[in-house]
Amino acid sequence: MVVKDKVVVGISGGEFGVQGSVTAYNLKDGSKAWRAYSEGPDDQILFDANTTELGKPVGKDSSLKSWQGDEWKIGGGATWGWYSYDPQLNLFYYGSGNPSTWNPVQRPGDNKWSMTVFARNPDTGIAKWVYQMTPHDQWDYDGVNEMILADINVKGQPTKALVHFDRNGFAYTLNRETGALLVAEKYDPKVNWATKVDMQTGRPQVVGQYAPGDKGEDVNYKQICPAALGSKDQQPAAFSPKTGLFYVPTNHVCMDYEPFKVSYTAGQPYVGATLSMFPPPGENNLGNFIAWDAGAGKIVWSIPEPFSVWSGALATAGDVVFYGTLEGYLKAVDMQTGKELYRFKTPSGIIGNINTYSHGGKQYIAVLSGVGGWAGIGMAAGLTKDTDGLGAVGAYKALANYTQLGGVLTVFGLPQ
Amino acid sequence: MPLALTVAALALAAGLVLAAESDNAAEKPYTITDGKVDKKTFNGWRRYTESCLRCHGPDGAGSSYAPSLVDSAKHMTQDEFNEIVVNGRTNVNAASENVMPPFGEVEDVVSYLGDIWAYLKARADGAVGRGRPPRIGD
Repeated sequence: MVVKDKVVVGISGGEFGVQGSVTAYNLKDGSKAWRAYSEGPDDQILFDANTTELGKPVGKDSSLKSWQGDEWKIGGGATWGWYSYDPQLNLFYYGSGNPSTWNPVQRPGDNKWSMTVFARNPDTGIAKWVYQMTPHDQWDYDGVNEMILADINVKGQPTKALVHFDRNGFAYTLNRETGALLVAEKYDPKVNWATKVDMQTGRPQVVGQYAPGDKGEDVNYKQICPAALGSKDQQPAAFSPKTGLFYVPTNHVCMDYEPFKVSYTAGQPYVGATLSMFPPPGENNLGNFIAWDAGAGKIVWSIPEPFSVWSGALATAGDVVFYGTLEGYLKAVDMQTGKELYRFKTPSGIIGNINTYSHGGKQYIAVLSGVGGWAGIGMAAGLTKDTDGLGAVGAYKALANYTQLGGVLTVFGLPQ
Repeated sequence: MPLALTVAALALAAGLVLAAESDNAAEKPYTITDGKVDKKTFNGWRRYTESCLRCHGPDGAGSSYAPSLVDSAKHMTQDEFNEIVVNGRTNVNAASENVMPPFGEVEDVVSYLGDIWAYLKARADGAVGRGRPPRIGD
């Protein structure tokens, strides 16, 4: 993301034991302006005495205190997601990913600041506020999904909000100026790893049965919802200033998760868990496309989809919302009710983002199709067994009956 | 012609008998009961998945740039396997550009060479299918 005279960029590597970081480079000559790590000493994570969580200063060594020994040096917290910027507040926002390894037994503590929403000053990199959504992650619920900055009513109050649909299945509404937590509710009713988020402490109330590592490693923890790919992965949601609602492509997938001990070697994978994925027990749809009221924390309407909705959404001023499906449908639905208005089957599954633009006075809708990503890994990589692709293949096995590989741009012209 | 064929067939038969005998003589490195694998073989599967899959493909099936280990394990001894994994191997010529890096310093591989071998041998013998093998006690 380009902000003023700098470009801000993150890194991947949560499965290779990186020390996650975000770096700003000067546009002029590419020299490094600053680097802020996700974990480590305060001068590496760029926290100062004014850095807060839920309105309280986090204090000295907030990250170091939450790791055993030097584990933070290979602690993950990659920054591979999206970046948002508020020019009025001069803050930019992003989330950090899973702590390394996926075996939580090897890294006791809260593992700060993995799984965290950051608000940083782009000039200095200093963090103004943070909020850790999933302390001591036991599920690979990366916190990297997009931070949508919207001015909405929250419980009746006009609010400069940050809205985030986390992989852990909770949708968070925060005050983006102060970092105050305003709403944290499940956006898929099947989420079972936590009962709720304590609004005082901000901590999820974890259910032991669904918490890998609580009974040690080499134990298969079953029927945890959502799966590691999250109730939503990196496919972005859309906000409509017209309705004040968020339109969210979601996954409806659960998992079995078995952690095991691994050793770190630079450059080698550092995962340490085996996974299987499947629809929630008793159901057979793997996704929903929902409209979400981020002020109230409630689903307004929900459209079941046979597969995860792995496309980005597009909300328009014409009262129509668009999304794509893994079978390859582009769908147009009524923004208020979710009623389907139009569908078109593109040649392959849609994991891209729906776009709109105008040219010569005519408006167009465009989408790339070509199945892939975690949900499509079985087809894209020719995998066949349930646990392949970190467990994604089993859940999406039937996809091959509905679509095929490909790479096509489909453009629709709107009637004049 | 017929004579040559007969000789070849005899040689083949003799080879098969020898192979079968040596198979019986050598202890199998894996244990499978009612279609379920022992701890060692299961660990071999997950270590393979963690450290080897990215090049050699899921379940030892091979990929466009690394050979199928299910095939390799059919005509390789465990000593040869260990040697290649620990020290690596370069096989670059007009027909191939295979470079296997040494894994001698990768703890998750060298500590479990026997387990990974057991899993691949079970795959090579057709005793274990693709995917997560069911485990004794599961």
